[in-house]
Amino acid sequence: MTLDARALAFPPRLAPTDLRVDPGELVALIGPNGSGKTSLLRALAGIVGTHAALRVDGEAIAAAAPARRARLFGFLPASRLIHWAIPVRDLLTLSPVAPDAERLEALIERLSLGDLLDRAANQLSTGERARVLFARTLATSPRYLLLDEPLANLDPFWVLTMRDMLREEATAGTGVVVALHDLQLLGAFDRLVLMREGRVVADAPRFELEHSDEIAQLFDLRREPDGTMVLD
Amino acid sequence: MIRLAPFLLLWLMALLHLLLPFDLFALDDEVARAIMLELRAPRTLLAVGYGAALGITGAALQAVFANPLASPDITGAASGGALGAVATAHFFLLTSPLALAIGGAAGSGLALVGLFAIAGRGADPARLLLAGLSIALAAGAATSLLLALAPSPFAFYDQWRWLMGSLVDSGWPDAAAALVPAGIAGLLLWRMRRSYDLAALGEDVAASYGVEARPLARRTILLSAIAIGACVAACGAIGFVGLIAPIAARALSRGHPGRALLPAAILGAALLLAADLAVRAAPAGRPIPIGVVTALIGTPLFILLLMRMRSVSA
Repeated sequence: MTLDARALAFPPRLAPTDLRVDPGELVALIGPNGSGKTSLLRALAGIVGTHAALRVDGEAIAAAAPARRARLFGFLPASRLIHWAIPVRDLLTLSPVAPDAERLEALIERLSLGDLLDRAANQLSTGERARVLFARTLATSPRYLLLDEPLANLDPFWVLTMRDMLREEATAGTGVVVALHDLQLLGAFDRLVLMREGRVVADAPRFELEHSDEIAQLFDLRREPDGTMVLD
Repeated sequence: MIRLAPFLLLWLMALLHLLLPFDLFALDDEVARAIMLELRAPRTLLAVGYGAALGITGAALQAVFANPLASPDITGAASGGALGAVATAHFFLLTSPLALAIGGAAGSGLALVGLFAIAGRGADPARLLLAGLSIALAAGAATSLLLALAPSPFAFYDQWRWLMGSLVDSGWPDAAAALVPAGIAGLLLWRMRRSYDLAALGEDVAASYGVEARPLARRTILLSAIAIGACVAACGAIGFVGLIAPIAARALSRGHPGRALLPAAILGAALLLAADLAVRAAPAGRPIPIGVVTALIGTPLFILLLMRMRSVSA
């Protein structure tokens, strides 16, 4: 069940990119604003770009039916907008495939959504909506999670909880790709993909890149001898 | 029970619409039969079909624009349909119900395409609605102009019939020309209900399931134009029903925009039947445009909904 993207492109935001993600990998996309993280995620989810080039285990995604795509990919956009007053209970199961009831129960418990179930989704706070949509994305157990800034603007408690949940998903065999802004969280990931101006500039195991000058340069910073990054 | 309520309401309204006023029963059997079959039945059917078309297209347009205020009247589709039908009669001298229906659908379609041309792709709701309003006003003015230039002593009567709507004097040919295309278009819209529900998750999530926003919007606009254009060509532009019915329907569908399509159609039909009953209650010889009644019913409801929206978001 390897996710294989060849010459995946979405001009001008994403230059032709090759990317392979294996089951169980926890990958962080790192780069400054406008470097193409979101475009790469959207292209991987088959939303934009040349998704003829996108295959999971040899299966072309462009031809797959909605239910199949829902089983393969769980895409979570950075925008947590919900237009309609749909109750959270309904929103959690709004998908081309029905989630497993036990798994849904566990997610509701873990993310403390029990009190929100009967509230209208468009009237929740940003943080509550983020948890609800995170749970919805995981509920149907997609093979690949493609998450755009899932940990942004959350209380530290939820950042750490959701970070742990991503690790558990990966351990259970899900491929997880996360666009990430907060460099403090790099330690949770197996592999880092560095992006700049719509291109992948480095792609390596975390330990190779984590303390490198490359990350500092990516953000126009300089690494001090003690490891901290400062303005150049 | 609450799910059946719209059906019961519709059934009751249709029955009342068919039977009221009861003076029919004082007449000779033959005459009563003729009135029932040739006058009342097509009018009842038109009210049901037109109301349902307004409800379902309103719900579908609201779903694709992700905006609870999009509707056939506010997007200019209804006024465009009226202009299309009047222009067909004026320039091509074609006045058969079918020709008017085709002209109406073309007019509605042009209005909706114009709406996208003015508002642009991915326009925010306010911009879209202002564009729709400007199209509605321009189409209304052009319709009035064509009717004013028409060499008909009934032009003034015609003007309000087109701009405010009327089911008076509608026979079977009118009903067929309006309801066959509207019925087919409505059915095709209803088949997309699942896509509208998924679209509630946002364009990107829906697209990740293969439900692409742009083709969905294009299909919705085309089918809405056919349904509304054909109905407007038969009975003129009727406001508010296409706005109010879907909003009320979402209260019955737990907020799901796609699931609201069927209740919106039923409520739209019931609302138009009720409005036409009120029209019939007017003194003989003083016909009231049905659009006046729907506006009188619709405006307070609309204000109520706006106030509720404000208190909810506050």
